[in-house]
Amino acid sequence: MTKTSNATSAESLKAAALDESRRSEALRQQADNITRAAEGRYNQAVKLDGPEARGALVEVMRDMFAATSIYRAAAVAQDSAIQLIFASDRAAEIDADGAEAQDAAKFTYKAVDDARAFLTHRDGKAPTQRQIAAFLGCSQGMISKLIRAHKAATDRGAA
Amino acid sequence: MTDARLIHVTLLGLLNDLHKAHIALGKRGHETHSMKTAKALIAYNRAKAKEQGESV
Repeated sequence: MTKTSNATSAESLKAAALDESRRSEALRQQADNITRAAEGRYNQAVKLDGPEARGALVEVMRDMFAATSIYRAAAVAQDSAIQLIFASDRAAEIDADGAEAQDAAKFTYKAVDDARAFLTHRDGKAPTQRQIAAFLGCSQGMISKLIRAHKAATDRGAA
Repeated sequence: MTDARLIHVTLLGLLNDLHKAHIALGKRGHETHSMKTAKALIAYNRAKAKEQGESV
Protein backbone atom coordinates (compact mmCIF):
# COMPACT_ATOMS: atom_id res chain seq x y z
CA MET A 1 0.00 0.00 0.00
CA THR A 2 1.39 3.40 -0.87
CA LYS A 3 1.81 6.28 1.53
CA THR A 4 -1.09 8.23 0.01
CA SER A 5 -3.60 5.35 0.10
CA ASN A 6 -2.62 4.52 3.70
CA ALA A 7 -3.07 8.10 4.78
CA THR A 8 -6.44 8.10 3.04
CA SER A 9 -7.53 4.87 4.76
CA ALA A 10 -6.39 6.16 8.19
CA GLU A 11 -8.42 9.33 7.66
CA SER A 12 -11.49 7.53 6.30
CA LEU A 13 -11.38 5.05 9.19
CA LYS A 14 -11.17 7.93 11.64
CA ALA A 15 -14.13 9.63 9.93
CA ALA A 16 -16.09 6.34 10.06
CA ALA A 17 -15.25 6.01 13.78
CA LEU A 18 -16.60 9.51 14.37
CA ASP A 19 -19.78 8.66 12.45
CA GLU A 20 -20.30 5.48 14.50
CA SER A 21 -19.68 7.38 17.72
CA ARG A 22 -22.27 10.01 16.73
CA ARG A 23 -24.73 7.26 15.73
CA SER A 24 -24.23 5.57 19.10
CA GLU A 25 -24.90 8.83 20.92
CA ALA A 26 -28.03 9.50 18.81
CA LEU A 27 -29.34 5.99 19.55
CA ARG A 28 -28.66 6.39 23.25
CA GLN A 29 -30.57 9.68 23.27
CA GLN A 30 -33.45 8.05 21.40
CA ALA A 31 -33.55 5.24 23.99
CA ASP A 32 -33.43 7.82 26.81
CA ASN A 33 -36.42 9.63 25.26
CA ILE A 34 -38.40 6.38 25.00
CA THR A 35 -37.54 5.63 28.64
CA ARG A 36 -38.77 9.05 29.72
CA ALA A 37 -42.01 8.52 27.78
CA ALA A 38 -42.37 5.08 29.39
CA GLU A 39 -41.91 6.64 32.80
CA GLY A 40 -44.72 9.10 32.01
CA ARG A 41 -46.98 6.19 31.02
CA TYR A 42 -45.99 4.42 34.22
CA ASN A 43 -47.03 7.44 36.29
CA GLN A 44 -50.43 7.29 34.58
CA ALA A 45 -50.67 3.50 34.98
CA VAL A 46 -50.25 3.63 38.75
CA LYS A 47 -53.40 5.73 38.98
CA LEU A 48 -55.44 2.94 37.36
CA ASP A 49 -56.90 -0.21 38.89
CA GLY A 50 -57.63 -3.80 37.87
CA PRO A 51 -57.15 -5.15 34.32
CA GLU A 52 -56.83 -1.60 32.97
CA ALA A 53 -53.78 -1.05 35.20
CA ARG A 54 -52.24 -4.31 34.01
CA GLY A 55 -52.85 -3.36 30.37
CA ALA A 56 -51.15 -0.01 30.95
CA LEU A 57 -48.27 -1.77 32.66
CA VAL A 58 -47.79 -4.05 29.64
CA GLU A 59 -47.70 -0.95 27.40
CA VAL A 60 -44.93 0.52 29.55
CA MET A 61 -43.04 -2.78 29.38
CA ARG A 62 -43.30 -2.78 25.57
CA ASP A 63 -41.72 0.69 25.44
CA MET A 64 -39.01 -0.38 27.85
CA PHE A 65 -38.16 -3.41 25.70
CA ALA A 66 -37.88 -1.13 22.66
CA ALA A 67 -35.59 1.18 24.64
CA THR A 68 -33.45 -1.79 25.69
CA SER A 69 -32.99 -2.90 22.06
CA ILE A 70 -31.94 0.61 21.12
CA TYR A 71 -29.49 0.80 24.04
CA ARG A 72 -28.01 -2.48 22.75
CA ALA A 73 -27.70 -1.04 19.22
CA ALA A 74 -26.00 2.03 20.75
CA ALA A 75 -23.52 -0.25 22.53
CA VAL A 76 -22.76 -2.11 19.27
CA ALA A 77 -22.20 1.21 17.44
CA GLN A 78 -19.93 2.37 20.27
CA ASP A 79 -17.95 -0.86 20.01
CA SER A 80 -17.62 -0.40 16.22
CA ALA A 81 -16.36 3.15 16.79
CA ILE A 82 -13.66 1.87 19.15
CA GLN A 83 -12.60 -0.85 16.67
CA LEU A 84 -12.45 1.72 13.86
CA ILE A 85 -10.26 4.00 15.99
CA PHE A 86 -7.84 1.07 16.55
CA ALA A 87 -7.85 0.33 12.80
CA SER A 88 -7.23 4.02 12.02
CA ASP A 89 -4.26 4.12 14.43
CA ARG A 90 -2.84 0.95 12.83
CA ALA A 91 -3.21 2.42 9.32
CA ALA A 92 -1.42 5.57 10.50
CA GLU A 93 1.42 3.41 11.93
CA ILE A 94 1.73 1.50 8.63
CA ASP A 95 1.78 4.83 6.83
CA ALA A 96 4.65 6.04 9.07
CA ASP A 97 6.56 2.76 8.50
CA GLY A 98 6.02 3.07 4.74
CA ALA A 99 7.31 6.64 4.71
CA GLU A 100 10.37 5.54 6.70
CA ALA A 101 11.04 2.68 4.26
CA GLN A 102 10.72 5.08 1.31
CA ASP A 103 13.20 7.48 2.94
CA ALA A 104 15.63 4.59 3.57
CA ALA A 105 15.32 3.44 -0.05
CA LYS A 106 15.99 6.98 -1.30
CA PHE A 107 19.06 7.24 0.92
CA THR A 108 20.35 3.85 -0.28
CA TYR A 109 19.83 4.78 -3.94
CA LYS A 110 21.72 8.02 -3.32
CA ALA A 111 24.73 5.90 -2.32
CA VAL A 112 24.54 4.13 -5.71
CA ASP A 113 24.26 7.46 -7.49
CA ASP A 114 27.22 8.93 -5.55
CA ALA A 115 29.33 5.81 -6.24
CA ARG A 116 28.51 6.02 -9.95
CA ALA A 117 29.50 9.73 -10.02
CA PHE A 118 32.73 9.06 -8.14
CA LEU A 119 33.74 6.11 -10.33
CA THR A 120 32.88 8.04 -13.50
CA HIS A 121 35.08 10.90 -12.32
CA ARG A 122 37.91 8.55 -11.28
CA ASP A 123 37.90 6.23 -14.29
CA GLY A 124 36.75 8.72 -16.90
CA LYS A 125 33.85 6.46 -17.97
CA ALA A 126 30.52 5.26 -16.55
CA PRO A 127 30.98 2.24 -14.28
CA THR A 128 29.15 -1.07 -14.72
CA GLN A 129 26.71 -2.31 -12.07
CA ARG A 130 29.33 -4.89 -11.10
CA GLN A 131 31.91 -2.13 -10.46
CA ILE A 132 29.41 -0.10 -8.39
CA ALA A 133 28.58 -3.24 -6.35
CA ALA A 134 32.29 -3.94 -5.75
CA PHE A 135 32.86 -0.32 -4.71
CA LEU A 136 29.92 -0.32 -2.23
CA GLY A 137 30.66 -3.85 -0.99
CA CYS A 138 27.29 -5.35 -1.86
CA SER A 139 25.94 -7.78 -4.46
CA GLN A 140 25.32 -6.80 -8.06
CA GLY A 141 21.74 -8.08 -7.64
CA MET A 142 21.15 -5.54 -4.86
CA ILE A 143 22.38 -2.67 -7.09
CA SER A 144 20.15 -3.91 -9.90
CA LYS A 145 17.13 -4.03 -7.59
CA LEU A 146 17.79 -0.53 -6.23
CA ILE A 147 18.09 0.90 -9.76
CA ARG A 148 14.85 -0.85 -10.85
CA ALA A 149 12.99 0.34 -7.71
CA HIS A 150 14.23 3.89 -8.23
CA LYS A 151 13.19 3.83 -11.89
CA ALA A 152 9.73 2.50 -10.95
CA ALA A 153 9.31 5.20 -8.26
CA THR A 154 10.44 7.91 -10.71
CA ASP A 155 8.04 6.61 -13.40
CA ARG A 156 5.16 6.61 -10.86
CA GLY A 157 6.05 10.16 -9.86
CA ALA A 158 6.13 11.27 -13.49
CA ALA A 159 2.78 9.57 -14.20
CA MET B 1 -48.43 -19.17 35.81
CA THR B 2 -50.49 -16.14 36.79
CA ASP B 3 -50.40 -12.94 34.72
CA ALA B 4 -48.70 -11.13 37.59
CA ARG B 5 -46.02 -13.83 37.80
CA LEU B 6 -45.53 -13.76 34.01
CA ILE B 7 -45.16 -9.97 34.09
CA HIS B 8 -42.74 -10.26 37.00
CA VAL B 9 -40.50 -12.76 35.20
CA THR B 10 -40.60 -10.65 32.02
CA LEU B 11 -39.68 -7.53 33.98
CA LEU B 12 -36.74 -9.33 35.60
CA GLY B 13 -35.54 -10.27 32.10
CA LEU B 14 -35.99 -6.67 31.00
CA LEU B 15 -33.99 -5.39 33.97
CA ASN B 16 -31.21 -7.89 33.22
CA ASP B 17 -31.12 -6.86 29.55
CA LEU B 18 -31.03 -3.18 30.49
CA HIS B 19 -28.21 -3.87 32.92
CA LYS B 20 -26.19 -5.69 30.24
CA ALA B 21 -26.84 -2.99 27.62
CA HIS B 22 -25.67 -0.28 30.02
CA ILE B 23 -22.55 -2.21 30.97
CA ALA B 24 -21.79 -2.48 27.22
CA LEU B 25 -22.23 1.30 27.04
CA GLY B 26 -19.65 1.70 29.80
CA LYS B 27 -22.06 2.53 32.62
CA ARG B 28 -21.06 -0.22 35.02
CA GLY B 29 -22.06 0.59 38.59
CA HIS B 30 -24.53 3.30 37.59
CA GLU B 31 -28.23 2.83 38.17
CA THR B 32 -29.63 4.44 35.04
CA HIS B 33 -33.00 6.14 34.68
CA SER B 34 -34.35 3.22 32.66
CA MET B 35 -33.26 0.69 35.30
CA LYS B 36 -34.97 2.74 38.00
CA THR B 37 -38.14 2.69 35.91
CA ALA B 38 -37.89 -1.09 35.44
CA LYS B 39 -37.46 -1.55 39.19
CA ALA B 40 -40.46 0.70 39.85
CA LEU B 41 -42.49 -1.48 37.45
CA ILE B 42 -41.45 -4.62 39.35
CA ALA B 43 -42.47 -3.06 42.69
CA TYR B 44 -45.75 -1.84 41.23
CA ASN B 45 -46.61 -5.24 39.73
CA ARG B 46 -45.78 -6.95 43.03
CA ALA B 47 -47.99 -4.50 44.99
CA LYS B 48 -50.89 -4.94 42.57
CA ALA B 49 -50.58 -8.71 42.72
CA LYS B 50 -50.60 -8.61 46.49
CA GLU B 51 -53.76 -6.48 46.47
CA GLN B 52 -55.46 -9.21 44.44
CA GLY B 53 -54.18 -11.97 46.68
CA GLU B 54 -51.64 -13.24 44.12
CA SER B 55 -47.99 -13.99 44.73
CA VAL B 56 -45.15 -13.26 42.34
